[in-house]
Amino acid sequence: MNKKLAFYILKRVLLAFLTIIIVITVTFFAVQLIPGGPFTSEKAVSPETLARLEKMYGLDKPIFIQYINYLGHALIFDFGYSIKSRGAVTVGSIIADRMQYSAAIGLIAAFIAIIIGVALGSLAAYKHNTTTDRVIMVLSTASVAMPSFIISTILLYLFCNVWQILPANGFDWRGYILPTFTLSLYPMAYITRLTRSSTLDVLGSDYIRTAYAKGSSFSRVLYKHSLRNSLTPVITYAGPMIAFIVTGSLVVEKIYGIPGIGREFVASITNRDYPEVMGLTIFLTYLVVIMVLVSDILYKVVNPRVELE
Amino acid sequence: MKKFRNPFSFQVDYDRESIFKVATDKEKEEQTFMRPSTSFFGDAVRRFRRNKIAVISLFFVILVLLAIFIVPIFYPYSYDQQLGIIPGKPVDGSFANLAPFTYCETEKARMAAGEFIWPHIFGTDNAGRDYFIRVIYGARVSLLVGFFAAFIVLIVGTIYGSISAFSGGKVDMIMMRIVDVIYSLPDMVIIILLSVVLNNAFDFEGTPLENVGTSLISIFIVYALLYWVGMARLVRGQVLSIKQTEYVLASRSIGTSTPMILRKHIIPNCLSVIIVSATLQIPSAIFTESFLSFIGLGVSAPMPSLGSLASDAIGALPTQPYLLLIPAVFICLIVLALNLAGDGLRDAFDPKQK
Repeated sequence: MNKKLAFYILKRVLLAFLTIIIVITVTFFAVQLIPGGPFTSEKAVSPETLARLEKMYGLDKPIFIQYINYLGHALIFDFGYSIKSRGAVTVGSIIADRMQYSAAIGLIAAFIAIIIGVALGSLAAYKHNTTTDRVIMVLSTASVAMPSFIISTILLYLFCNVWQILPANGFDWRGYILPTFTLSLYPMAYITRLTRSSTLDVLGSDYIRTAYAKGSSFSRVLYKHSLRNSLTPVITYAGPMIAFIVTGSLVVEKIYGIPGIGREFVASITNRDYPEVMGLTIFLTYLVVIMVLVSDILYKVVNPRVELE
Repeated sequence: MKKFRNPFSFQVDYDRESIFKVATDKEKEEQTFMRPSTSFFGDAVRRFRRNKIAVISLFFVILVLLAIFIVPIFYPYSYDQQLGIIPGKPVDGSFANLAPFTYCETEKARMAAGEFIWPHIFGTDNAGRDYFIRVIYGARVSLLVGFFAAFIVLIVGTIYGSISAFSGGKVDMIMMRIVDVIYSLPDMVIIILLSVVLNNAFDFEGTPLENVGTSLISIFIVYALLYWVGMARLVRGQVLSIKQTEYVLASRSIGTSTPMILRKHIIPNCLSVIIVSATLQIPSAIFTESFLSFIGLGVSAPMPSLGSLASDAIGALPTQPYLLLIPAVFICLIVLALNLAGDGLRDAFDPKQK
């Protein structure tokens, strides 16, 4: 590994760290703006109980000390207790519990999006300016024009209520089909377009013509020359794709009744469970920032032609 | 005093009138082979008009814009009027949940008496409000959100990007690091957080902003805080690259002042890129708004937006699917048309990019 690359990686890691600290800071002070403490509820709490509770949660200290405390804990994934559970369950354990469902669905969706997206994109590029190309492009344009909550609802209604092919909720493999499909739709369309344009670029280059000229077969050109080069832009999309899937999961999990992170996030907003909202915001930021970092570094490693700043 | 002139000289004698005669207008016209000069803008318009899909999309957007401002003027119902509730009379429940183009018992009785009743084109919702005018208003709110958000992004991003490009050096570096940080944030999660906070922390009652609703204001604030970074990067890159072109160098070398170079070269050349990118921002804002409406952070009732209409109709899908499908189709068409028109504009203004 050369020095320049090491310096670049160091710089990006520091920037990612800074981003996370900024998000923790913004989250903390933004939630402070909301009037009413976490123990304000319909039931009146006696002043003594309130004082005891505030002491227990460290809310009686000055705001800056509270902030430093929170920052320190949030950096090691300790987000305190969920209010809704009356201090019995930590936000961290909620995340660990819910993450298994979200991670399963998210990973399958990402996998589908990459495989089908790359395949469709390459196909469209190889069949450039034919009907196949146009159909693929129209489909990928149209599928990003509909909000995912509408697509999910309509699919759920058609497949589970009208045709009754799939179970409305259930945790065998058939329950995963609709959520993962809906979740993968937007990234799939994006990857299709990305792959198509980069493949078109690659196919027009001199080394592909040389490869054909020296008598390489189509499949050899595809695997050895074209695919490797046309896939590098897709790597940069890995970070934003995780962000999309995280956002999409808020909708998809709520509609399909999957007990994942997304549904928990929406529920915590509705319940005004601020420690949980804060914890989940910061956790999802970790996820996205780390994915963006990894995909950026990977891009530079895979593609040595890219100039390092 | 007449200069001495050697009669054998081959030099042209300028004093003799017969050598140079003033050309007549007809002769001048014969020498003109030039077409009217094509401007950059004219070229772009010509290229755009050749792109049929983009023209149709733009036409559709204009049509929708006209509809959402003209229809409410003459339409007899308003978006928040519950038709069954008339002050001083018992609530008439028959107005609720009418199918498209049907009338309730009360209206049938009035029609039998010879009165003209405007049809409920899309029926009514469960509170007895005319659904057509709600969809029209919803499109209006959604599009206003989109246009206003794009406008905010345009202003903040352009100013930030050009300051960064012109300052250069340390200032530029720090400003761009800030952009990098904001760029890698999961935007939707931050939008949700800020919407939750703003919805609960601020109260706009009694101010002119009251009608807009807290949620909409929080969407705008979030756009002003987060979404301009793409635009800022774009503007900075554009300004930097134009600053280094030969024509700016040429202009500078003949002594043009910096404000003049800005006005004549840099701003016009950036403008198209900025406008195109702002156009593509509109559908993204419409999406964001509909997403926030779905998780209950969008516009506040009774004001409709396409997203809130669709998400309110989810429960009624088995019995009245059209309540969901109509706003869904509207969102889809508007977003598609804006995207295609934006793509067309980009291709028209930047032929190199193709």
